[in-house]
Amino acid sequence: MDTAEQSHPNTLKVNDIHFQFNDKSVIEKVSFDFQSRDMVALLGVNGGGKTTLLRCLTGYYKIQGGSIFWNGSDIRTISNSNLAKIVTLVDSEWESFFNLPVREILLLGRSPHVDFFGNFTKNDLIRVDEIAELLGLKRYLDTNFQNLSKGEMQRVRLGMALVSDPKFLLLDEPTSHLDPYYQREILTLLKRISIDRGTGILAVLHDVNQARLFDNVLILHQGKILRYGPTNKILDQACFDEVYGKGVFHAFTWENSPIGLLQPKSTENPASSSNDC
Amino acid sequence: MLESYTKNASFRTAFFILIPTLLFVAFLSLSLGPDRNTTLFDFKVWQHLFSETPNEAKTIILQIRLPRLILAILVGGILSVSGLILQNLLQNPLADPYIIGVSGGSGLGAVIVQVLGYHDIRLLTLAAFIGGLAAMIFVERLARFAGRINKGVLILSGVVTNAFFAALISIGLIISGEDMPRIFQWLMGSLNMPDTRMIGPMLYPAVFAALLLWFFSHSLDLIALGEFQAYHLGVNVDRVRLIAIACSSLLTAVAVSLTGMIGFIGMFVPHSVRFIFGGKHKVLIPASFFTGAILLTTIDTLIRLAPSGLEMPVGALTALLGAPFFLFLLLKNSESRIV
Repeated sequence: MDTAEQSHPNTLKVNDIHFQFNDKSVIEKVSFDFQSRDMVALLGVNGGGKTTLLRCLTGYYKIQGGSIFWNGSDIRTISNSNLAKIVTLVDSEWESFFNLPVREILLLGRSPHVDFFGNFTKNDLIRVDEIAELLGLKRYLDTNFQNLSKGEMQRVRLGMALVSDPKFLLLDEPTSHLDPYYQREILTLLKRISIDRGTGILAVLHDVNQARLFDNVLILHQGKILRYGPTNKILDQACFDEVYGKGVFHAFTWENSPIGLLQPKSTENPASSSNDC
Repeated sequence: MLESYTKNASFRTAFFILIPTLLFVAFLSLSLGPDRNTTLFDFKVWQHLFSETPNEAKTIILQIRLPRLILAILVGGILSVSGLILQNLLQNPLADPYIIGVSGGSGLGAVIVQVLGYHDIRLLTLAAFIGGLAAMIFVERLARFAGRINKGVLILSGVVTNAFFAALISIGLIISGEDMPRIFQWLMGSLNMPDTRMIGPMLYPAVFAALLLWFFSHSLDLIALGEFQAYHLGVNVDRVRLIAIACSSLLTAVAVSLTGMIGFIGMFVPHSVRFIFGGKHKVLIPASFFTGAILLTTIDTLIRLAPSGLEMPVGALTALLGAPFFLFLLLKNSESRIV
């Protein structure tokens, strides 16, 4: 496995995967390649299979056909603990049913790098502090998760994924529950992580404006890949009409500019804070 | 503040408080009973204890009170650990072997064996284990929907399972004929064991299951975050869940076959322990064991002090105290995410 990893450093290769749920096909013949440093937005209508695809990629759902290679090794041959070092998935719905302080939850996020008995070292604690600082969670470290607001919970979920320093970060609606300030903070943070640490990021998004912060777009439609390529080439009205239906493109406008195409004039919008897309 | 996680300060505090408390309660339990004259506060009793000749004080303390104390410690402890693990697996701080129906399944297994005329504790435990495991898997499957556990369905399926097993147990009791009063008294949860030699062999499965769970404590910390998170943090969820289900069912089976159905200890103790000691199972498992042991020993000692004729089954008293506590938690959390 080591040699395979060396010849395929930080890559994901998805070959013709298939997944069905109670005889209903959710993912059909999906193939694509993905490298670290790639930042891909996963778009599509509700029920299009986006969340399912993410869960198949981490092996949480077992695919019924095709193959997934992380760093050159078949996902079926990678142990859970090794897989957790490569990729992690953030679920925006996750809640804790027990009263745990934020610090403890973040520390548990460090588990892929800790031994079987959970003996955390000083480095783990330092990493938790750094991430808490980045996400503005420092003053909540001793607060119980259940007492946080939805936006704060969302930042904790992200923090849990970030402390484990994965090579690939899969996110299911990372900006849900967040106010515009934190939407921008999180998205620029993801951008920075992708550039500085070379982390590959694949995020399910619903706000098409946010997709323009990402280099590439993958559009999943009825369980199949409709488009996959550079954002500026793909996100046009024709694509919009095909995915979301005719009329949607003009249904939401911002000072007469349709969403998804033109830079809005307002500076509060997260998309406008980035100048490299 | 950060240091406390690496040095495990709460681990030491837990045992500096819990072990002396248990020793104190155990001392009281050996001292107090219907026979007010036989107490360890009396120097003469100590002399009797160490004398070679058989005497009444020695018999009362060593052959009546001591086995009962060991039984209370063992059963209180393992029911609490079992409840802790169930709450974790089912993602519900209100779960308890009794409420969820695991005790019911174990009880049915043990009743069937007794109705068939077998009284070997090992056979009883085996049947109780199979019954409890079946109930546990049934309830878990019912409540699980698309990888998540539905809180409302969990409690309801526990209620239904319990009712179903209670009906079968009643049928078993009726068939059992003249054995019925004895089985009934055992079923109600009683620390009065006719044959105290049965305790010894039961220590092995109990200690084995508790230690195995303790070995997996970090994985259990992660399972407490839910299966989804645990999976993505590198836990082999299926394996840990299987071990946890088997061990907690085994612990419940041992408790049920020794002392019948004692409810609410397994809900009340882990709940309080988690509140005090946090979320690390390395601490929670032993802390639950000792707290449960302290609680059941205390309750049993109080029962023995009741005027003669009023000595009620310990299971009745724990339910009497536990049910209002359960309601209190339910109401307190009615707006949050428990149910």
